[in-house]
Amino acid sequence: MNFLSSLLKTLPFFSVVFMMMGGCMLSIGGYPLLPAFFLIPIYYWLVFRPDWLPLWSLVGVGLIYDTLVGNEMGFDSLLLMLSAFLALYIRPFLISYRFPLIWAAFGIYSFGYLILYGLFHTGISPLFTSWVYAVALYPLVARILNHIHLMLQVYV
Amino acid sequence: MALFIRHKKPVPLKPTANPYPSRFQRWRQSLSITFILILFAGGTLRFYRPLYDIFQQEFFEGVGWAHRVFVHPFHQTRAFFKDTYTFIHLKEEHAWLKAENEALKWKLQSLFPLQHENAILRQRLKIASFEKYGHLTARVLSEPYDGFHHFFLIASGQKEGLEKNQAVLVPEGVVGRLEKVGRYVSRVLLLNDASSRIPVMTTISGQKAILAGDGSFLPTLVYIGDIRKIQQGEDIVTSGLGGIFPPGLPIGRVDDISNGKIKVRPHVSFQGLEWVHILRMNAEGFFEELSTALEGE
Repeated sequence: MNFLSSLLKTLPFFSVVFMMMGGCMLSIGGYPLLPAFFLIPIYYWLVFRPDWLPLWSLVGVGLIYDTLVGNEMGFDSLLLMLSAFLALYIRPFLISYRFPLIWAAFGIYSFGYLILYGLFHTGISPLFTSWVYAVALYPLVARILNHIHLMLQVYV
Repeated sequence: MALFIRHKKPVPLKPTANPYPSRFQRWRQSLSITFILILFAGGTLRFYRPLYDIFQQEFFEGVGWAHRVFVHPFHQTRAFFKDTYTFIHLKEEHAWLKAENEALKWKLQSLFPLQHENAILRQRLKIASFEKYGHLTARVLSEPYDGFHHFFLIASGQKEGLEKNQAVLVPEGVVGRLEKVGRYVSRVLLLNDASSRIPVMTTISGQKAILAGDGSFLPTLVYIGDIRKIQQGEDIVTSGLGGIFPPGLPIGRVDDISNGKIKVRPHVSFQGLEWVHILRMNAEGFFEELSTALEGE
C-alpha cells in the first residue's frame, strides 16, 4: 500500500512529461503550443500539491525539455526552479481557490516564464543581468538616498 | 484541589517555530537547500566538459527512446486513418495514379536524350556524380518547435548507421543536417534555425555565399562574393564547400533583396513532413569527389 501510494505520487511528474511530449507534436495554425503548454500541469501541482512535484522533479522535467527542444542542458531546469519560487509567493493569494483567480494567476505566471525564456534566447541577457544588478543594489542606493532625504528634511 | 493542579504560573507564549509544519511548510523549508544543492551539482556537471558530454548523450538516448515509445500509438492511429481513407478512395486514386504514370512515361521519353547528353558531358568535364551514394529513409517523429529552435526528431540513429552532420533531404530539396545522433533517435537541425550555416551558390550569377538561418522562415545569404550580381528569383544550390552537403542540391530561390539583405525562400515548407532521406556520405568520399570535380574545372 505504501509502495502503491508512492508510485501514485509520481503521477504529477509523468503528467508534466506526457503533456510536454504531446506538445511536441501539436501546433495550432503553425504556431507552437510547446513553451507554455506544459506549464499547465506544473502550475496546477505547484498550487494544489507542491509536495507532489518536488524541486528535483522540476529539474528532471527541465532536462527532458532541453533534450527534446535542443536547449543547453539545465537551462529550462533553472527557469522551472525559479518559477517554483514564484509559485511559492503566488500560492497564499490563491487560498480562496476561486477558479478565475487561479486562471488569471496562471496567465501572469506563464507570461513571466515566457518573458524569461525569450530573454535568454534572443540574446538580451545583458539587459536581464542589468536588471538583476539593479534589483540587488537597490537596498544600498535606497539607504543612501534615505539618509540624504532625512538630512534635507532638517534643513528645508 | 486547584492548589495541586495549577502549581506553576502560566508563562507568556513565545513565538517559536511551528512544531507541526504542514506539507506545504515542509516543502517550503526544504526548497532553498535543495535549490542550492541542485545548483552546485548542476554547475559542477556543466563546467566539467567530458562528464557533461557523456551525460548529455545518455540523456538524449533515454529521452529519445521514451519519446519514440510515446509517439508510436499516435503514429499508428494516424496511419490507420490514412489507410482507411485510401481504401475508401481506392478507385479514384488508382485512376489518378494511372494518369500520372502515363504522363511520367511521356516525360521520361523526352528526358532520355538529355540524360545521355548529361552523362557524356559529365564524363568529359570530370564532374563528380553522387548517384553512387545511397540514402536512408527515416520517419519524422515530431517537430518540437518552441518559437526559437527549428528541429525535427527522426526515428533512426546509430543503429541504422547514421552519423553526425549527414545531409537530410526530401525530394523538393535540402531540409538540414543531423545535429545529434542517438542509438534510436536523431535530431535534425533545419536550415532556417539560427545556428544553421550552409555553403551555397547561386545558379545564374554563380556567386558563392553562406546561407544563414535566423529563426524566421526565410534564411539570409551572407558573405556573398558580389552582391550586385545576384538576381531576384535565382535558384540557390549547395556549393559543396564545408564537407557536409554535396554540390548541386536544391535549397531555394532568392525571394527578396532589400537594404543589402538577401532572403531565400526554401523549396521545402518544413510543415507536415512525414519522411526524410539521409544522404549516406562520409567525409573522405566527399573530399575525394570534390577534388575530382575541382580537377575537372
